[in-house]
Order: sequence, then structure tokens, then C-alpha cells
Amino acid sequence: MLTLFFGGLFIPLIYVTEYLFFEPYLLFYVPEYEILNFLSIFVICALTGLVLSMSIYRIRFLQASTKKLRTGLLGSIVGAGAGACCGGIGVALISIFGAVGGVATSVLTNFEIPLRIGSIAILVFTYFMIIKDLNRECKVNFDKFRD
Amino acid sequence: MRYFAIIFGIMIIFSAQVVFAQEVPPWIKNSAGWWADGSIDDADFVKGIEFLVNEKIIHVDTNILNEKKSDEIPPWIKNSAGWWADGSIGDADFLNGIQYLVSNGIISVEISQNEIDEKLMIGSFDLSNAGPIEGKSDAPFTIIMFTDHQCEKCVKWLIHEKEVIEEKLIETNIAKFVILDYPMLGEDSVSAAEASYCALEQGKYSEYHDILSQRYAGVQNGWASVDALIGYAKGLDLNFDEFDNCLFWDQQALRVDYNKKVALSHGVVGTPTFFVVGPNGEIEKIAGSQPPMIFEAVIKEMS
Repeated sequence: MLTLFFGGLFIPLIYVTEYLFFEPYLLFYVPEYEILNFLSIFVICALTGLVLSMSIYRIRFLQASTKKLRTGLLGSIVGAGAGACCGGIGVALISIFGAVGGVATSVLTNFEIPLRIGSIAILVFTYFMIIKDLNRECKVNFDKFRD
Repeated sequence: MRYFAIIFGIMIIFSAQVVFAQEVPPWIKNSAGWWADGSIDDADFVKGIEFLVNEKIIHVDTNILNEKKSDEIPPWIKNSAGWWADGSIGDADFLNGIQYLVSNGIISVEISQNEIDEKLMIGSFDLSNAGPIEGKSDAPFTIIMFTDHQCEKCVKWLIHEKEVIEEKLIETNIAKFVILDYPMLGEDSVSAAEASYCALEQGKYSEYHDILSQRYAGVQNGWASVDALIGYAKGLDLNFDEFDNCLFWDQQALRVDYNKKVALSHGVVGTPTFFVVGPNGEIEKIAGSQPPMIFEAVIKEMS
């Protein structure tokens, strides 16, 4: 499931941020000056895969609330959106949402690095909260077996 | 100054619409009312239209040009200008009035067939209003780049990747390179495009383009505002007043709008977008900030 979430977010994201191209040839290209950007995207996608898969486990098997899933998704969306200018996605935003889309493109571009850092922070926080909950929820109650 | 204001008023009333759909940029509507309310008289209006056509700012069908008969402009055309300015009628209705003036010889123009045929066409791209062509004009291939000055990927490509293209393709006379602006990220993109063409008028296009690339700082956050653009020109050896007037009065707005239509007519939806045009007019599109090796591969495949 982690791989699925990771791949499902990573591939579209590197296409939108112009590291993966399909025409005129299939090409994966990360220039030297974009290494940090690419690594941040990789980290966000990896954390997203981790957080989402753990959240879904908790919801399915432990009947937990969806709050942490929503927090994780928020982190992913924020991180995914940052830097999504200026290919077809940016134009689509502007044309569909008009002035709001224009402002969104402007914010996502101008605050790309803070947004990515914020996204990673949200995902790391969510990850540790899930770990803490899992440790508590998955503890075996040995008292039951003493009697 | 009055004549200049009239010309500008007329420039912003009419736009180059014959090649593409009959559209007039909406930003000129404010000035259409100047003529409608009598701020500009008819004789000056006719002179202005003749100037714009002779300077190829307005493109007309030569088949309908008649010998000049009269300077009198029917009142309904002036009414149309006013109605169009306040949004009561559409662009097409208003432009029909202008076509009437040309067809009936109220406006006479002197355009030779050769001048009209000398649009700079490479493949299906009209580069008449593009930036200067880099490289030898007889280079068999042409790389056309559609860019926005506020597009981060475009700026990074120009700074990091273009030098390899220059070394491997332009300096070896395999290809020539030309930039057209496709401003889509806000008003500052349009202003920056206009400013670069204002600099082109004084032969400083490349230098000004480089300054904009170096000063890049985001989207619609003021680094490409009109005041900032004027400030950047101070560092160049050009006639500052001329540049200032050019930018302030939007003298290059029609040019930018024309190039935008060239982009749209070729399906450009984002920036950077490149087209490689071969010697026989064949076209290959390269979307996104792709490395120079892709351009080399495309040219090799087209050879």
C-alpha cells in the first residue's frame, strides 16, 4: 500500500514539476540546479505513502478516526501544489478559477520552499502521532492472561 | 503631443485582428470613448488610421483598398466606438466599422504587395513581431521558444540550458533561436514582455532580457512591476525617456498581443514551450524545460 501511495503521488508530481516528460521522448531529467527541489518532492511522496498507509491501517483495523488521515492529506496537497507552475497545470488553474487560480499560482510559486518545508513538517508530525497511537492501541493486555 | 495622443488613442482602439479572429484587446476600450466623445476630431482620426496601417500595426486586406474619396466619417461609426467602449456591442461589430472606412476609401493606405508578403514566416509561425533571431539566418533549423518572464522554469532554462544550445547548435550554424513572449501569469508578465520590446527598439533586447532573468523573484510580487522595469533600464545605455514613454503608453502592447495569438494558434498551453522547425517546414513540439540533448535528438531525427 505504501508503494501504491508513493507511486500514485510521485509520478504525477514529477510530471507536473517537469522532471518527467512524455513527448517528444520519454525522459526523466533532474538538472543539477533542481536537485533540492526534486529531493523535497521525493521526501514528501515517501512520507505521504507512509502516513496514508498507516492511517488506513488504523482506520480499518483499529476503528480509529480519520483525523490523522486528513492531516496527512493536507500535508501532501500543500507540498504537492507548491512549485506546480507554469506548465499546463498553472494555466488550467488560472483559466478555470480565474482570479483565484491566479492568486493560487502566485502563492504556490512564491512560497514554494516554505510550503514544502511546512508540508514535510506536517507529515512528520502526523507520522509521529500515528506511531504514538499505534504503540498505545496495539499494546497487548497481559492482565487478561494472569487469572 | 496631441497628435501622439491621437495615434495612441487610435492604436488602442484598433488592433491587429485580420490574421486571426476579429478580436480587439479589452484593455483599449477605455480609450475608444475619447474619439466617441469628441476629444479626437475626425481628420486627425483618419490620419491616425493611415499611419497605423502604413506602419503595419493594423493589417488590412489589400483587395479592398480604394482610392481616397473623402475624409468624412459616418456618424454611426463614432457611435459604435462609444457603444463598444461601454460594452454595448462586441469587437466584431466595431471592427466592421473600421473595415467600412477602409473599403470606402475614407482611409487610403500605401502598401505594396511585396511588403505584405514579407511577413517573417518560418514554418507556420509568424515571427514578424518576435524578438531578434540569434544565429545565422540561413541556419536550416529554427528553435522557437514561448516564454513568460515570470515563469521560473523558463528563467532557469535560459540561464542554465541555453548556453549549451548556443554552443552545440547556434554557433555551429545548425539552428537559429528566437523568443516569443506568451505572458500568462499576470499583468506583470505583459509589462515585462512590453519592456523587452521597448528595449529591442533601441537595440538592447538581449541585455534587457538578461537583466530580467537575473532579477527574477516570483509571480506578481512586484519585481516586474512597471516601476521596477523602468528602473532596470537605467543600468543600460539607452534613451531612458524613449523607453519610459514606450512602456508607460503601452506602445508594444499590440506586438505582445500578436505573439500571444501566435502561441495560442499553435496550441501552446504553458511555458516554456519550444518548437523546432525544420528546413522543409516540419515542426516538432518540445513542451517543458527539457535538456539540450532532446533538441539535438529532434534535429537529428528531422535531418
